[in-house]
Amino acid sequence: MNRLFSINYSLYTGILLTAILIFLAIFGPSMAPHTLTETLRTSYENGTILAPPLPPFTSKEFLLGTDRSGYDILSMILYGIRYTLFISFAVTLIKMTTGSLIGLYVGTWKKTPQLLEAFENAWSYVPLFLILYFFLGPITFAENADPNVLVFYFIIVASIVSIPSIVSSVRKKSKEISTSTFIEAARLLGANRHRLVWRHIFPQLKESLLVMFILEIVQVIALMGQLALMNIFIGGTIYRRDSQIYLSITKEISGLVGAARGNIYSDTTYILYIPLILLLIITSSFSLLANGLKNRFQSTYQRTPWVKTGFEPRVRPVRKVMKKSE
Amino acid sequence: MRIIQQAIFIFLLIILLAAIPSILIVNPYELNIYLDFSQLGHLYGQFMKELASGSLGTYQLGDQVRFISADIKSNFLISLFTLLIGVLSAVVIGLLFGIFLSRFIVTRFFNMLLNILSTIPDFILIVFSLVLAIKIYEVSGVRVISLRPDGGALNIWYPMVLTAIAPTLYMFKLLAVQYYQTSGEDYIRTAVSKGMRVNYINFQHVYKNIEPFIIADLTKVVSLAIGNLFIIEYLLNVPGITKFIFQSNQFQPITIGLFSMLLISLIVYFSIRLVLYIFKRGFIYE
Amino acid sequence: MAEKLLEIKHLKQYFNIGRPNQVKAVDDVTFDIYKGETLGLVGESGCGKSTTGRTIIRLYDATGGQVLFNGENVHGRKSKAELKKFNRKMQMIFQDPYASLNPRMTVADIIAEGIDIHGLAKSKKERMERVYELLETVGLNKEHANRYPHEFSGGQRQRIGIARALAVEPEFIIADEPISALDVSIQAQVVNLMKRLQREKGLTYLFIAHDLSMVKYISDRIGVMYFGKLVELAPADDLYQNAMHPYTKSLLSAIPLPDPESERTRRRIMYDPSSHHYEENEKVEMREIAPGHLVYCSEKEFEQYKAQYK
Repeated sequence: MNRLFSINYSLYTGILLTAILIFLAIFGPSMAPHTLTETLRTSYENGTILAPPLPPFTSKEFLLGTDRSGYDILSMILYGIRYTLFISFAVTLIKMTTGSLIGLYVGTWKKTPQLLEAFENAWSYVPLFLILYFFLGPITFAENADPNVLVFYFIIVASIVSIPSIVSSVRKKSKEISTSTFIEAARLLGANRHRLVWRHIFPQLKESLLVMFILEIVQVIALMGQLALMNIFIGGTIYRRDSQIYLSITKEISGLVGAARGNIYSDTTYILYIPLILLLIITSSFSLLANGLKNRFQSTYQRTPWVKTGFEPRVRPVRKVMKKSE
Repeated sequence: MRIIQQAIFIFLLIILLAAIPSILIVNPYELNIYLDFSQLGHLYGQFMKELASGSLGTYQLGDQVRFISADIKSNFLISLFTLLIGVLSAVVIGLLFGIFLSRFIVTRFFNMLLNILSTIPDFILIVFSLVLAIKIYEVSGVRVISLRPDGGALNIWYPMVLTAIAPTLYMFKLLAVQYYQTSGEDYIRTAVSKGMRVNYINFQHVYKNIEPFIIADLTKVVSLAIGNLFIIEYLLNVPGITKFIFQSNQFQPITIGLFSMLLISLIVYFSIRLVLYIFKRGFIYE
Repeated sequence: MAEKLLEIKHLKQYFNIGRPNQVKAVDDVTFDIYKGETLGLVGESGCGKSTTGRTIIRLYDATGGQVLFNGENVHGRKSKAELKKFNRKMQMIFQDPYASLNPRMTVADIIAEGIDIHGLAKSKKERMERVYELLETVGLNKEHANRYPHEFSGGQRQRIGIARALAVEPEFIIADEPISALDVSIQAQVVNLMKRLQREKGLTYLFIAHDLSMVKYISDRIGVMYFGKLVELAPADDLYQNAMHPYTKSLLSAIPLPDPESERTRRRIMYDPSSHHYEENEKVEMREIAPGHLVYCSEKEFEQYKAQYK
């Protein structure tokens, strides 16, 4: 029984869900029952009228229903999921690599430049989505712009904008390690900065950087979601003046949420629910994965508290099994 | 020295951000994006001229053009209170459930809830809370929120709650981790071995060592709350300071809006510092 | 006397320069270290002896003064190649054997780090052979190579630290309180190991410690530091028999003896820096009162000490 409790469910569920998501991102469009341009024609079947918007599970052809214009929601999702995953991954990759590199190296400097610290602090006051809002606002509505260019533009801007916070946290960790005695010992042996960073500091940080990477993916998705609520969809926004609705060009999931925001006040809330729940699943699978990894690393290195805190992990430490030397 | 540099950076960032809608140009024919700085000097000059003449300028609300100075006071206060309550509740709830009450079985359930919620991105929580409010109205007829700008108290309490969510979860998570880590330290062991009560240890030994982390992350919490405040004011149509920022893309109102936001965040930050200071004086040093 | 390996001239190391909390950790210290000897450096904690060691080896940039190694200045602007050369000649053994080994590296990688950096092994096999050889030199065995530092005791870790320093075949080793973090029963083992290595490899040591009895055992000469200044420098036996500077006397009087009889009669001498009554413009410096015996004193005290010296 105890053993059942101490299994790292979070890790395994996270891995499973992430794997499914990646599968959908790759094969989604080829699995989609409809194209993005097909619409439901109003028809009369078995005594009921099928007309958009169609609620979910009423028609076999349109399993998750359609939106107001009759587009199939399931297909939109299957097309959009790859954008969500790819964009969030790309942004995270760029900002984590750049940020970690800068942070790791600056951490080994004897003194942190005051200007850099001031800049990091100032930057951390301003909500990131606001900066992006101003940068993307004028562009996203550009008519007949290539969505790929807009996606690319977002990836670049979002990465640059969020680098300072990564630099700041990696720098602090790197600094902490670089003051330890074994770094001094390596310096005396003649190790240059690259060796210090890659042989001594990075190995100590790689677990926490991995966890940070996964959590940063969630952050990027959250950022995209916040922008979507302000009608800025990644890959471009179509604004229909006549009906005053905003549409996402790429069908990126948070864009679908943003586009369906108006349905909150009507009885077609499911148009909002479906992408929102999917987004929830995406973010929680990454969170689970990160949490599971953290549990695993933490239980291995963490000291046990002396007072009852209520936050004791139930996961057992995984000890490294040493190879028997001959 | 660092504070001055920081202030300069923030100042520059704000006037740059406010100018972006005017200087970022998308060429619709060749589809390229470029920055046109030629307008910049003119913009800042115009802004200074307006300020020098003693007026704050105008902004657009829907189809009408209104004077900023006529609305800024009430809008400022609404945003200020929303943010203040949001951050304050973050600190209070975070401290209570993250440290002082966390060990009880009754609060365990609540902690678990907070833990689960904290993994969900805040904008999803905001959308869900909105849906919830509307469903409550549909089912019971109780008006939880009002989307009209003149809704009075109804208009303000729900945004406050929503603004509080993200910073509270962040603070809770931070404190829970810190508490767990601190409680493994040797000085806690010494305190336990001397037979001190858990409450006493929490106040005297744990809190004192966690406070620096709270203060260090307070800016982050405030920034988180501001981010959500923007979204919530926009979604719920709250007549706050963001009206100046989102309703138009003119330089004047955006700059004034952003600077007001900065002022609000500073007021909130220092109020919380004051609260923490009083708490420390009152409870810990008695 | 043998030839000089290291000359330390007017070495100064100040921290927080120009601020109200300026600290003169090392204040105008001059001494030589001869080839093949062990120079012990003693003093109370915080008197700047570790800082002296760390400044000599360039862990800190000196505020002033010179360090000459075989007649070449160690400090000042150096090219990377020159620095590397000094890194090979000078090594350090650290006080805390727990913190000085990277917990994520195997013992083999820790020891071989210097070999890798300076390219001392041509093949993987040669590298491992060097590691095994070094492990055996410091009294550990081959099987330990693939383990991690946390599997070792303090004494064993200190041996690993010594092996790491030896890997680059240095001429001069600064031992910064190498035994103070160890169990008393282990201390002698490590010190004996260091003595043996000195004999076998002709090493020169700067042995920093606060335990006088251990320093006496290992050192040929001993320097006594007080508040950033070297106050007395003499051959080990001479220092014990003819301590001149009142601070040295006080330090010697603090050594506990494992004999209850003498321990009961042992009298602690307190040192009061104001007892010197130095005058404003009096020149206080290191003066040689007997061959090889230097004391930090004024002209007046110099005559006095000389008379006292037997």
